Amino acid sequence: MEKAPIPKNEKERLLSLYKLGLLDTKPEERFDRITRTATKIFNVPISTLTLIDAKREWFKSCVGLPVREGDRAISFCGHALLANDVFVIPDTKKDKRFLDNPMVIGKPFIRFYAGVPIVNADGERVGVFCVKDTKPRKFSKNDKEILKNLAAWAELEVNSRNLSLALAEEKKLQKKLTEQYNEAERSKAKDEAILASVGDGMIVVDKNRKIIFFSKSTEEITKWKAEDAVGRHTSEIMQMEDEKGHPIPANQRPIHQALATRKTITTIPTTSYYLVFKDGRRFPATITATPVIYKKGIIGAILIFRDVTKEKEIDKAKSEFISLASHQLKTPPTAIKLLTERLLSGKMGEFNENQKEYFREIRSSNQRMIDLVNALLNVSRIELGAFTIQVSKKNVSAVISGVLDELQSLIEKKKLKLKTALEKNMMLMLDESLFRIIINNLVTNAINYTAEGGSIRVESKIAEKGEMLGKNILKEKSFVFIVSDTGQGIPQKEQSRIFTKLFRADNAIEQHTDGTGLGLYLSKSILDHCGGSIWFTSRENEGSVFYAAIPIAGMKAKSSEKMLIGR
Amino acid sequence: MTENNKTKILIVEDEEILLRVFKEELNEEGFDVVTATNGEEAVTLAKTKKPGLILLDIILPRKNGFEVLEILKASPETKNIPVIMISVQGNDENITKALSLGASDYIVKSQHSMVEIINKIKGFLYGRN
Repeated sequence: MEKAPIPKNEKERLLSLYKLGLLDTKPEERFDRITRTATKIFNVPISTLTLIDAKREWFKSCVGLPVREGDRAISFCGHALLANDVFVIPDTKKDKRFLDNPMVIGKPFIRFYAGVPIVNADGERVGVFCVKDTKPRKFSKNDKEILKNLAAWAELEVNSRNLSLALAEEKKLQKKLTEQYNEAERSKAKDEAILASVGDGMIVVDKNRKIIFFSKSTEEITKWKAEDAVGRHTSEIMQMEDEKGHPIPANQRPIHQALATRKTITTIPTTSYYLVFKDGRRFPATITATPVIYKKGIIGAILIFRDVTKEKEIDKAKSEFISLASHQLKTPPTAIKLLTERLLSGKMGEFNENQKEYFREIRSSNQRMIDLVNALLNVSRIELGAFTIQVSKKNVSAVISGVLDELQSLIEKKKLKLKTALEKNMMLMLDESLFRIIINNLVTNAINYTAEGGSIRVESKIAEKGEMLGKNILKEKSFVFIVSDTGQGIPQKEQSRIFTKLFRADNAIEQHTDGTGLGLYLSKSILDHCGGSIWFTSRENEGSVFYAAIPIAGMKAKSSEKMLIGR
Repeated sequence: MTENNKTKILIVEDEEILLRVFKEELNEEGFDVVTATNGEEAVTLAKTKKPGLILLDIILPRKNGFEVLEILKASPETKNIPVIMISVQGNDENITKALSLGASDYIVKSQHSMVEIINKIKGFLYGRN
């Protein structure tokens, strides 16, 4: 007996069969009428519509057999599956392949078989339509034709199911596609809304600085249409110049710098970048250029800019206000100073000692007022951000020594011992006047709050990143200025407020009535603005140590209209 | 120049009381003093009185100190008169601006005593010769 062969594409065939979803389903009239018709036409007892599964033949429709399935290996349909035409066995007993087949020598004693493969819409053979008899018989050409037609009918029924399945599948797919499309459209609309709502100008360029995106607001600002601008160089849309109208050199432009350094470059409102357009319009702008990096390569940059005419005007107004306030506040005390001096000089007549003492008190009160006004004006400038930090290379030790010289008489008057340990010939990028304010403040404090006969130590050094100084670990390599004294120290509970405006510790007020309470606030503000830091350690009645650090790269520059008042 | 020869000084200052103090002090030192309280008056007096030195305040009515300075330096009859700016303001940019416009020096009123100011003026006038 020859077992039913397994075709080469069995896997695909099985897949196709399973996709049909017909296996193991209930009998259906549309199939049963075909097998019935077959038995009547050919006058045979058995006709089946067989589906060939991996290991079995299963009858979707069956006339004349008590079972609904059988073993594939011994099935006739299993053979017929591979036939290219009608597969006929006129007498099973006379055919080597089948004479000892269990279904021949036993129930149902098949002697005649004719079957036609049934093909699925995808071209796979899923089963067979057949007729069987218990007697051998001839099968004419006509008979074969009829059987083929019946099989075609069966195939149609099989595929109509296939078709409706396919249609249902297609419908599902369509729905999914529509949903995805809508989602994409919604996303796109959202993105467009976001981009359009960005009031600032936005231009995206590729790595050659050619424009690839031009936002709606940019159209309004530049008066260029997006479709005209795309593909052009940014320089065709707008030029960049400084306040005086001189063009900004290419290597100082934000996009150039961003593409070269791979960092986001932002100009601050007070820097003078003016954008100029072809119609002659011109305004100061703050510009941010961000490089776009993809897989470690720069593929372009995003340029965002905003008209800051208003900000500049406000800035100017602030500066002018301070100038005016400054002048108005300083004029009367200056007059008092010169007048009291004249009175004390004797040129206005002689006064008695008591009267002279009063004049001296007026003079010193007045001086305090002048100091306070200066300090308050500096504070105003700091808070309004209206001051500059202009750096240049300076010899730090020389500057410190200069300040110490100026304070020499004060030190001697209080009979204080001064020790110095200054790093010689240290050069640092500094704003000298601001640096002096800080040094002056720290040393003057040490002098003022140390009783007669005490000592002060002034030190300067380079400290490494991670070094611990005064219970503080340095975040980067810095120049550090240290002032220690054997003075009254700062009480523990008041230490947290020592840098706040106008704050003076109780013991400080008792010892030295004249302080403004602004010195440390000012020093800290200056250091905060230029990238430095300030801290201290202190014990009441033992002394204090103040540390001021500036990163080794120097003070960070800052531009604005005004400068702070130095001494 | 000897101290007996009365050198004429023009003081331009809008605060009357300060003007009076300056005038009295400078008179006592032997200088002849001419005063102006606004910018326009300053220019006129500079041209007519031809002082040997001008003390010029910055904040003034009718043309401020910088404007006066520019005019004086632009006019052939006054451009060689040395000008010392005096002001309550002591910030670097004012100083730079004054010097760049042609001022010979800059004094901050509130930072110096009268004695120091007088010495500066004397040093300036006599030192030059």
